[in-house]
Amino acid sequence: MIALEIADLILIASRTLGLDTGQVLDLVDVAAAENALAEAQPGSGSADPALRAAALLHALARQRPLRPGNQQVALAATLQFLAINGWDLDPDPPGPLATMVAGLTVGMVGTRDAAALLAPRLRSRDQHNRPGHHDHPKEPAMRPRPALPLAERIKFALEPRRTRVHPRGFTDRHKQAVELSLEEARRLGHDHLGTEHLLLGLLGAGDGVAVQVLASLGIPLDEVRSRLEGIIAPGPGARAGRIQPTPQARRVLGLTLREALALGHHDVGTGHLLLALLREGHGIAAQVLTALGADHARVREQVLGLMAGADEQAGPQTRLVRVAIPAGLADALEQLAQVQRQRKAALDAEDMEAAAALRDREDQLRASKLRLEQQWAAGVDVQAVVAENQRVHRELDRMRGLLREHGVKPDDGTAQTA
Amino acid sequence: MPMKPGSTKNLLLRLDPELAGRLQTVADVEGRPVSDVVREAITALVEQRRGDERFLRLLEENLARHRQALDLLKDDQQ
Repeated sequence: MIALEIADLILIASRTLGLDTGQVLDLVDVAAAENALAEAQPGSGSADPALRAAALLHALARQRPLRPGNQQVALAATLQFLAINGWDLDPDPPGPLATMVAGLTVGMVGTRDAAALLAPRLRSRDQHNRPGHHDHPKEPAMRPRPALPLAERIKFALEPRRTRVHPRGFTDRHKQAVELSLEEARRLGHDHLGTEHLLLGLLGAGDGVAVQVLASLGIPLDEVRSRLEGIIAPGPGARAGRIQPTPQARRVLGLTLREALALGHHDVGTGHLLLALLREGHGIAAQVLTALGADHARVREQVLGLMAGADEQAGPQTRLVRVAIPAGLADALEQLAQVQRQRKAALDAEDMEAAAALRDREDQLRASKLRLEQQWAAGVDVQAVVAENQRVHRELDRMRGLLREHGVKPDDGTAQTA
Repeated sequence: MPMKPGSTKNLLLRLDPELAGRLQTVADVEGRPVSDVVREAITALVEQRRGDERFLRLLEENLARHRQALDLLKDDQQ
């Protein structure tokens, strides 16, 4: 039988109680939930669905992982457990069912009593497919999945962080997005580059990871653009000179590298820029994206999924253009983690002198990391990106000219370049 | 697992020392509490499951069919 996991239980609680995931996490006792689910694991008891469902319901009622709302969630989780294993429970009459859950909670009803009440109400979902039952189309049984404890799931979630990553550079799509964001700022008559311009740039940079992620989340690009333009007031007009990034935009550009590092990606792309906009959290871009239903966790999942298949990296459609990233940043991160581990070990060993020395070293490394990130972010905004793009475009024009001189008609501009 | 003070909400769960150490490292490098890292990991798992259309459809069907019994349990404030 397919068992429920902690993520299932939180999702069930979210839908049953009308709360978002964060609100459920504020209520749930994860250890109690894990205990209850472990008691109902396959192999730990009978294959009788009524008994297994009763065991789960009893464990959830007794362990009370949620307060308040536990009884509702325990019942909903039990119904879901039955459903994913091909069983429906007759809802009528509802009174005895509710009384049974309350009785399990206070210890007046046991697992076998509950199983005896559930058994006559159970219907195989296959029965609904027989003649005369049209409320459920025939569907195959749900695919069994390995039931893993939360610790194992978290271990997998952290796995990409274990890789020692040295980012190679920006994808050309990322660079295009940043350049477009500058154009958007000029078009709007602004002398600053804000998160709103960065998001407009992402939208204009074609079918990159960011745009694919937004589409996969059902967020229409036109709506994003429309909302942004509804918020942004036109400036006094384009001025000559350098467009300065706002502190928020500068922070976003720094966070972009962090997002790539955190996911173990070598190439910094538009997906990481989108994640950084959400991580920053306060800019116009984050407000618009959040209002349209995007959140960091969902976007991160989508970016991971998309980039696991086809990275925004060297290939026929996108070409990497290297931009110098402070060479020591990845090393600084690793050194920092190492010093923190050593300091913890010193504290555990009650070697306060060593811990104090390591604390000083840690402060130095933190300052160094911050400085490197700021240098990196400062170099991103206009100089490296635009200069490299212009250089590549000039080179492309030169190549086209050479081709024409030799009687070869170059493509009409559809070739992908930086 | 010990949690740093100041986190949004303490989460209690059993982790082996190696995983707890790794979580602590990630949290230290990113400058946030361990509980935030754990919350983020759990949230990612939940959002992944939210993408399972069939799981969600079965859940919505059951919530609708058993609305009366669920409403009877609404007063549970324990």
